[in-house]
Amino acid sequence: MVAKGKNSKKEEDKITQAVEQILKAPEDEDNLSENAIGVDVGTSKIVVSVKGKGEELFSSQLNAFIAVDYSKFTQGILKQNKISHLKIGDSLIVYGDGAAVFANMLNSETKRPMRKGLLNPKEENAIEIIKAIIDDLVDPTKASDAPLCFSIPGVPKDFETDIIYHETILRRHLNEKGFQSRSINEGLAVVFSELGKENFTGIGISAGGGLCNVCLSYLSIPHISFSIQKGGDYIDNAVSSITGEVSTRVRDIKENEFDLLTKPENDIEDALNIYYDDLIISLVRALKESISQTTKIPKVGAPIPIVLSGGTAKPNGFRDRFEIALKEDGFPLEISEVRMAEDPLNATTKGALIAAMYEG
Amino acid sequence: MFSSLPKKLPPPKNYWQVVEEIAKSIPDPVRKLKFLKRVTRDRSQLSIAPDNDVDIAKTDSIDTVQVELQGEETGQKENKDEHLEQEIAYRKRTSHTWAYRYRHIIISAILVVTVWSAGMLLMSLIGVINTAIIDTAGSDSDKVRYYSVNKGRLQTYNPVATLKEKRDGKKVGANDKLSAYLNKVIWIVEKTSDIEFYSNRLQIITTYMVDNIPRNYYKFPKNSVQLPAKDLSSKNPASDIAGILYHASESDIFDYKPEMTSSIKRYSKALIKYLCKKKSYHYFIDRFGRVYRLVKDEHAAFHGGNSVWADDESIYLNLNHAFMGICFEGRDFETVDKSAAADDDKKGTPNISMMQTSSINEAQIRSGKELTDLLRVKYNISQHNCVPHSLASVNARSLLIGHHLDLSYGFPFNEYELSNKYNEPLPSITEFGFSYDKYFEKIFGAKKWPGISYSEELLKKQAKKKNLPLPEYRNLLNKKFIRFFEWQKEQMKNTKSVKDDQDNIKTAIEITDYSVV
Ligand SMILES: Nc1ncnc2c1ncn2[C@@H]1O[C@H](COP(=O)(O)OP(=O)(O)O)[C@@H](O)[C@H]1O
Ligand SMILES: [Mg+2]
Repeated sequence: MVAKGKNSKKEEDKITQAVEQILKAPEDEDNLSENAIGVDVGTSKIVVSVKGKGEELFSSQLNAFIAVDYSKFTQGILKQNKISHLKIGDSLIVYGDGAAVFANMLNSETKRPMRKGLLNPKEENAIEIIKAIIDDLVDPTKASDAPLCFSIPGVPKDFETDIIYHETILRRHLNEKGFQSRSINEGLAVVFSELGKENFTGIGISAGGGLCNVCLSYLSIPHISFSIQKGGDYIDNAVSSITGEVSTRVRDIKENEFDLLTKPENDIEDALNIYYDDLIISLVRALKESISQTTKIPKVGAPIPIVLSGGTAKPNGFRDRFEIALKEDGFPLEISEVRMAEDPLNATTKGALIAAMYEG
Repeated sequence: MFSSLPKKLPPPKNYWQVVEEIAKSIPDPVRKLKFLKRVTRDRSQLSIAPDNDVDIAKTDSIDTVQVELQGEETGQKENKDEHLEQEIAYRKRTSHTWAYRYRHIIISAILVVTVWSAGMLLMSLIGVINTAIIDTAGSDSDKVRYYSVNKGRLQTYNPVATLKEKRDGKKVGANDKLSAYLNKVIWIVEKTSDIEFYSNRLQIITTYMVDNIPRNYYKFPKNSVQLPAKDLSSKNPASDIAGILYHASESDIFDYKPEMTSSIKRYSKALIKYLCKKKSYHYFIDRFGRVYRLVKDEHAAFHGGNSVWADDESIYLNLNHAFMGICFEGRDFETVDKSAAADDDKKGTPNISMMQTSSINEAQIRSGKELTDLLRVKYNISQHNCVPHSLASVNARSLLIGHHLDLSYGFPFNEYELSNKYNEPLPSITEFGFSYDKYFEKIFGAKKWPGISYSEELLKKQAKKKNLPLPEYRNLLNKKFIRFFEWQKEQMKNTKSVKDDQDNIKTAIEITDYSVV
């Protein structure tokens, strides 16, 4: 938690430092040439894509914020350096990528407006914050009816929640800003971006921070889609709770040096292995269940591919472990290959962009 | 009239198979999606998509579609009738009632018509469809008229000439011979804004040429685990042309016959424009052997995907930048129709198979040789580094060879004065311990490149020398690859500033410009 009270000199230094660091990050200055927009609304990151001249252009912000006490000094420096923030009540809320830098400097943790793929009902400013992040990424002044497609999670397999609320809030906001917005199931978005060659036939999986989303599509029509409530956050928290290491540090290890194919060398790696396995097995089990419960799966002549995407699928060996789990006591469909998305972190937004373009 | 018809009719297709085949030929995902959404929406009342193997031809709702067809079609009615006659003539010989089968053709026709009426829905890259429309609607030749979507796409064809591999085992390209080769003198004889003509008969059409990004890549030192050094004395980053990668377009192919001339030309043209837009290859050789420069020599083209090649000194991992890409229009694989096979046969079998004869013809081979000669002489390219794409292409994730399979058999090494690379070790195996999977084995069977087992023997020897069990040694090599590969990716990230230049490029002609009108 951030210390209450007036900002001390030391803190001001930290803030100045943080600001500098944010400014060093490369900016996205590319202009759009066509107006369709794809938005991946993930628990940990929001990624926007537009069509540039040759290829897609991506920009992203962490879907996170940190609240600091309001002071003229802080707000001044934020404004001066164009760092995204909101003033709500007595707090200044720094959101997006800037939030992480601030949290780091202040030795605190960021918070999230979303939890497990949906707006977090416990976070009172969640809606304001997520709107602000989205507005930062998709310039509403350029909206004028531009087609926009944003991702929403599949219905959780183990747990009924109201996705409609989440979807409506986002759609309404975007439409008010002048976009023509629609939503797309996240798994289907992965199919759109990665399985073009296969005529959008196959299984798209996005393993993100809050959830894993799955969609089985046949010729672009979704036949099965669901999510499981395990993702990168689950792994971080579980590992943190059994090793005693703070979850930010766990995440750091997981994202940077962790390899699912090498032998674990310490407790943290050991635990990471265990929970990755747990996640993969849950995912495969849920997929098997869904398939066997569905009566209307098209009998596709050829084996279908599975494509893996999302930050959680990134460690080396995730694909191999997944494939092993898949093969264990049989899988109800014939699978041609399990492959990684070309660009795992951008697969969802790319698919959303394709969806926006084809409707647009 | 019947003389131009294919000898064997394609197997009957159900609606979804036709849809899938057409969709497969649409490269742009958005257009593909539009197409699929449209056809699935139109057909949603049939409730076929979700059900098991419903043969649409037998559902009643087909009639509604037929009505729709008649409503929309008027202009093509005459042709349709002709279709019908011919179709009947054929179908009557079969034991099934032709009526059901005829419906398949109607369905394809509907696709043509709906697609057509949707106007811009499909760009002409699926020129098959467009050209078929043109041919049926616009030509007064009966033979050409008959050409429908289905026939155009699916029939087998007999190319006039085929790639022949002369396996006489004679090794070409030993060093002395190579240097002699490079002493050839080839010079430019004439140059206009549209063509370059060379003294060896080579003519390059430059009309469509586009810019990309300057060549800029890293040569990895061979026999070393070192990453490339970036000091001034080293060769890195490099921008010279180190080799040539040969590709096949694996696109749709029309019969190589005089009456197909206009369709062939239209299709090639659409393909060229598409490839320019994608900056896919440096050179393209159409079916009449005409050579086009698509991307200028000094720039990279996106032809190599993940691929590995090596010569005596260096390993190349970024062949887009390091190698020239020459693409022959043609194909040497066909999609297998597995619907006819028994369920058991289908399991795990590849959905492509080698064609009996490659469709790449003599004219193309000749032009390819002239082009190869010019490039090798001009850029001092070693014969070691002139390879079919299939031999270099890898799946970098699963560490498998043969990710792309173009020109994986029958390349005329001898005629090109190159050593037979099918028989030589593969750098992906010897340097990085890559392997192949069952899928690969099933496709090639006994025709697997001899170079593979050769490489594996070398691998075994190396492992023995290092006193390591083979799997462990392989693992080490794999790790080396991953390290190199990731390092290179990291370097390429920094080329963003160059990439931005793409915006200033004379980029491809917009789709509407070349959709067939
Ligand atoms: N290189 C990496 N290795 C392992 N995990 C990663 C890596 N990069 C990101 N992650 C994890 O992926 C999750 C975020 O993935 P992302 O696809 O952006 O999720 P979301 O869709 O929920 O925003 C986080 O849990 C993060 O820790
Ligand atoms: Mg995501």
